[in-house]
Amino acid sequence: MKTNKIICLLALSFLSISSLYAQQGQFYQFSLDKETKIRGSKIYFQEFANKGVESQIDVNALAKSYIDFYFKTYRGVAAKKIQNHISWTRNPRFEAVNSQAEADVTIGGHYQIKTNAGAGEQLFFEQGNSVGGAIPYFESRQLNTAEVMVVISYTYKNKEVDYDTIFIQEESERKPGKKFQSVEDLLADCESKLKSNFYKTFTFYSHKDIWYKLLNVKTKDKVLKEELKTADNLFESGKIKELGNLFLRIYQAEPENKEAAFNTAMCYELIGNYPKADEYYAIMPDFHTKVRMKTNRALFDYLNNIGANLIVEDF
Amino acid sequence: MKNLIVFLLPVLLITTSLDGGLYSIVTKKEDALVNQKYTKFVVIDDETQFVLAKTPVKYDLSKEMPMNYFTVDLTGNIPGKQRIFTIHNLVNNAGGDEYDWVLEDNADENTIFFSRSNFITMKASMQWLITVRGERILLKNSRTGAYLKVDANGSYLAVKSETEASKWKLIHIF
Repeated sequence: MKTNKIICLLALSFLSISSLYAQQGQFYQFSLDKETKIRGSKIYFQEFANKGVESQIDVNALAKSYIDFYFKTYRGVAAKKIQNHISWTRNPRFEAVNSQAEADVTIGGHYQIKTNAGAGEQLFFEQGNSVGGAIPYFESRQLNTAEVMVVISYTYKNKEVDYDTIFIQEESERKPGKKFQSVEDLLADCESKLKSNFYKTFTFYSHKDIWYKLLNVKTKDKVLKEELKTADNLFESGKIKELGNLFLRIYQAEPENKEAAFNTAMCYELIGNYPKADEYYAIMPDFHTKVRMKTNRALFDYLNNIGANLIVEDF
Repeated sequence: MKNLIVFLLPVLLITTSLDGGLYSIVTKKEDALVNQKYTKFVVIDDETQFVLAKTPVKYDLSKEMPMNYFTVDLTGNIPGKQRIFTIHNLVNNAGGDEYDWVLEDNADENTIFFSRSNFITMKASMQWLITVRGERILLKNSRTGAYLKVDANGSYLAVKSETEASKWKLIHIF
């Protein structure tokens, strides 16, 4: 009985000690999904011209709401996860301008909405049995259709133009036991598909939750040792830059302290300074961080290449 | 090789010409009774635009219309002779009515109406001959020899002459 109690106490004390070192938190990791046709950081939205009939779908309002993705900064719940975190996600990477002359890229184009409610009949005769005469009959089709075509043009400063095309077609045929949709219903379906198509067209990166765990760092320096006691608080309160600065100073004081270098790299990663993160991760290479950094760099380098306005911070 | 093509060409031409048409407008009895699989038609009078049904309704493309199917009495299907049809009103089973309603020319009551087939003792009164007139058909009762007519009020009448008879248009429904 006594032995059991001792084992329980030992296990509890072990858990409590290890939890002291478990500095981990959940943050966003951003990744590039596909390439975008945006070049530069200044975007001008020119309303799409309507080349068809007026309809219930406000294509321009929809397009505008999805183009706003480019000017997005994270707020609310999302902002909590990136508070004091990746600096370039807290600032707009692209800027909306008021004229084409100022813009690096002008997003415009045209759209066309077509609807048709039609019926047609075709005459047939029985094929197999003509006893008493092949009986004539008609086959009737009643078909409602609605289609939306949007041509999005990207006009760059050098007058070059690139295009995206969205084409949505919905149809409903009258058949017994099957709901026959009106043209208005089909247009509503087109509108909902148009939303998802705009989203797919203008969104080029996404994010997911990732758990980051810092390594246990020890130091012989008495001042730094005292300061290290605040590491938990700094991490939990999201003061990543201060925490990174502490690990950096430990590493600079003790260049053989690879754990401090690793934590410095992780802090650089958390504030979105990937070139620096790569530099410090190289001191204590780890397969998982290599994979993660590959994803990070893909988006970061891509944004830099297309001329997005990235604000990168240091400790 | 040339002979083979010459031999196959008519076969190919015949098979391609068969595309898109029904082999027969008839629903096999076992398909109707066991499989509930019908070759369905909306039957419309050309003049009045009434649709053949227990209670005739005006044809409206935007609504679901009453449907019928045709069966053939095997005893009447003698090679080289005219086929004798029974015209069934296709009842929606979801409505709870599972009876077999057929078009009958009731000579005793001198009226034409849809009635339950198991109550008809004189089977010939529910048997109809189809006369083809161009793209339309006439329905002639095999017992009385009267033609089916639907008047402007949507009532069925038995008429003696072909000129008075309703010219029916069949629309195949998938």
